[in-house]
Amino acid sequence: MAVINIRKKEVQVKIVYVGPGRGGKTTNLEYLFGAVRHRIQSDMVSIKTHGDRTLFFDFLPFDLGQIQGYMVKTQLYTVPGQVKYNATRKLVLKGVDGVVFVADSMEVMRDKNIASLENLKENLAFYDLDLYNKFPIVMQYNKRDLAEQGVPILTIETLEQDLNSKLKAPYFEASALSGHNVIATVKKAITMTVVSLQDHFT
Amino acid sequence: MDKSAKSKMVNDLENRLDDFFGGEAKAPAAPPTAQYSIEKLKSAVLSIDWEITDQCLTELITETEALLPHFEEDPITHALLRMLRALARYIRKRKAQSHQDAIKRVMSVFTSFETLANDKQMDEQQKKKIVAREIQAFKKLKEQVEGQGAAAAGRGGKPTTDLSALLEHQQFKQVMNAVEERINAEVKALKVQVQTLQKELDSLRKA
Repeated sequence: MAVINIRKKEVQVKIVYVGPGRGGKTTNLEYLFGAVRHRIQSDMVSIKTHGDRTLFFDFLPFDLGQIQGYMVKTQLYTVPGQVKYNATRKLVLKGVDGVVFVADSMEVMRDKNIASLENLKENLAFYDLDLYNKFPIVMQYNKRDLAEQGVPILTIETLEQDLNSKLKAPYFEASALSGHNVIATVKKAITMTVVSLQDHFT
Repeated sequence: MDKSAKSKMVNDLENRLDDFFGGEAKAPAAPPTAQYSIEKLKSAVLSIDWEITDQCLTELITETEALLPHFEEDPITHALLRMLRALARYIRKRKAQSHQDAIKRVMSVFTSFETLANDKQMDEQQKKKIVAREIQAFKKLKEQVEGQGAAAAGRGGKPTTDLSALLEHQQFKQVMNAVEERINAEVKALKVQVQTLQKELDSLRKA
């Protein structure tokens, strides 16, 4: 749950990027870091394995400034997507306020997307959070640009049917590599998360 | 929260986000002033905090060496980088036998280096104070390491470790050979038994 310091009038929001391995979670954060690095003090921290995979997590903190008298601090995290790192994923999800689910649009990733969402549901349940009960989540259908290169990708209808038929979360077609809709996704995620916190505490 | 207050809040938030991210414009390139980056070094340092491998340590040494030329004009920061390189080389060489404080030293030296590299306004006095603290801790560690080495040499030291590893290896080989011989013998005995049974079965059939 968000850290709220009434005395200092400060709110700290934690948003985690979740999704199957190699889906583009870190690329999202790297793009965002590139876009805002000139206006933030902090660095993006990444811990990678030999093959450039996220081993532990990526972390990008930044201050949004005053909103309605409160200083809003945002922390973006990614989790390792590989199945074997579930303990790490669970740990990073501790205290999560909102999620961006980065689905891989490639046809071959269909089952992995579904399994990853199911895993997210289970991990949130571990912290008594119900993914299907007003939990702030934004879907990002990444790698849409691959269609131009002839790579078979899933249609939006299929992705929506597989992942979002029950959630009905807002979704974005994106390309984290080129930055298309990366900022739109994070903006939506932050807005939804802050509104959800506001609802929760009032 | 009533609806109008909520929509005002959402409005404020969206405006703030627009200001912050500046729309969907392409990400600005890295500032041209940055001729070097300590990001990779930081990543290497954090990697060894997570898992100490030869590869991480080699990366740490490589990144440190890559930064050294950029700080040649700044002897204080240069000294910290050289200290970091020495520590990484020591840990890579001694591996699990490294002094228990060596990793802590790496973290501390890197933190000091990062502070100095990022804060161009820091006055010389302050810089000297930071580096003096690091040098003192480094010397202390060096003394402890040398002390450990001398004590180990007095007891037969390093060769004992290597010898014990060798013995363990030889013992392991011997045990494996013994197991293999035993299995072969048992298989041989079983084959003989099967042949005998086969013969008995044939004679019974004929009868």
